[in-house]
Amino acid sequence: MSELEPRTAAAESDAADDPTAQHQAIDRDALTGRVLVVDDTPFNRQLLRRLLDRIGHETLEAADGQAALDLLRDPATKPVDVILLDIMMPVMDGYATLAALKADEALRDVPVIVISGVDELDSVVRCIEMGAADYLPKTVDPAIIRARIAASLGQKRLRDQERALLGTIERQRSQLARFLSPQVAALVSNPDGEAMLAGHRREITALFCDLRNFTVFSETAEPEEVLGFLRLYHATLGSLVVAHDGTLEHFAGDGIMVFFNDPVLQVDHAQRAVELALDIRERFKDISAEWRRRGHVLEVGIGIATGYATMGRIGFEGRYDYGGVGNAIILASRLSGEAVAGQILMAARTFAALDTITAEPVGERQLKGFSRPMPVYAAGAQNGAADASAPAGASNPAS
Amino acid sequence: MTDGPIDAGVFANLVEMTGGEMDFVDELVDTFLEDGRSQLATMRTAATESDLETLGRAAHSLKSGSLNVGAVELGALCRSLEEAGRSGAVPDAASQIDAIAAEFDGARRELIAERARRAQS
Repeated sequence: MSELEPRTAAAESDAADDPTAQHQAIDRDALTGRVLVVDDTPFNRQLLRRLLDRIGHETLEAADGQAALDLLRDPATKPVDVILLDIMMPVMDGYATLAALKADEALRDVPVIVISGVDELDSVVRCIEMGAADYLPKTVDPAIIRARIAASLGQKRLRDQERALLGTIERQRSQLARFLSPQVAALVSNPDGEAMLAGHRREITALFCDLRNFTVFSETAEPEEVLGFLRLYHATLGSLVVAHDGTLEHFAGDGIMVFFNDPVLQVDHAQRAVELALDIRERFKDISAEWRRRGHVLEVGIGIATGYATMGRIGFEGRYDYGGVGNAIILASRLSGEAVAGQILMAARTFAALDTITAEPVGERQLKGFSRPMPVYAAGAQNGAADASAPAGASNPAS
Repeated sequence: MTDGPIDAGVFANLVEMTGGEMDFVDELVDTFLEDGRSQLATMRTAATESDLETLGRAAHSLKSGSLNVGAVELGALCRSLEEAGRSGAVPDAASQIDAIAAEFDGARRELIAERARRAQS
């Protein structure tokens, strides 16, 4: 999994502030933090603050629950690590305060230690059920204070580290998803993904799509026009690939390669690939019409083939792609080259696996790299509706 | 201070808790005395207004300070009043508060005397 991280600049920069790097064993005795003392009795606040100061904690105080919440929610207050909370207080008592703290997203994880008299153990039980971390007796032993606050601080540090780590993982995952196809990003983030990335054999359906006439277009159009066109083309195709749950292997100029049935299993992978092809052809009609008005003839040609391939991590240390090696992939690419404007050509195995899509044989083709001529089929429309946009007999302009 | 209003053992604990900083002990005692006077005033007002919630809370507040400075008997009286307040009716609130005030006064004298003895030694 680590081989893939250098793909994203974000993943690299994240490594610098990776909380795992600072994830050291927590020395409880050395732990100090900011402690808020909430008690209506001045004597108790004074005593507790002094004891906490002596241990090395920074202290704040509030005379009741409402004052504590106001202080904690004040943007000028630096975050507090532990709250010592008295139960019986005027204005807002300990229970109401605890409930408000636990209902507040930003304060929920600050450990609360309830201060209680020896005759208030029922209240302690109630507070712990409400989410208090611990309790301290009112007649305070400094050693107990030290130990309980350190324990709560330790838990909070761990929780903070855990939160930071989860945040980093989530950030990396969302960054990865921008660079990789979502299925591959999920694989990379998943501990079981390593075996899949290492390589596996799978029957897949590969779809290759590129543009007729793109070479002519890119030579005659302004570079800005070419880039503008590619952006629209990639955005359109990208959203269709995602909508059809295809695994996008790569975009290269006007060519895109998409797999089905890998890494996520899809029983109907051939059908899905052809459905994607039909959608691409449909959506491309508008794009094509728009560019035709500007004087450029741009049409898609799509090739689809089904067969076994070895799938996984391909490349070298520092730059890996998720990809495949197999005849089906080469065949899809060759068929795309054979397709005329708006045509979707597929190999026999893909054709055989279709249920609801009509396709017709368009004869045998001698394809580069394949010793024997291959029977080739052209997709029509779903449910047998005739598709006028695929001129079967049209010549294949130079692409 | 044995058998007086202040339990010597508890008071020694308080001194130990502060790390033997007597200035701070004096500060705490002053806070206790000041707060105690104010809680007593609150109790009297609450009793005349039959505000049992405020009465109980003031007793509770004075109780916790009392127990920390060693005013054990004062703490016990406060606790009775607090519990009575919680039970819903305190017919003898005024006499209970008088008893608390008397015990508080005794504790105050003892605490001040302790400070004076320390100053002499």
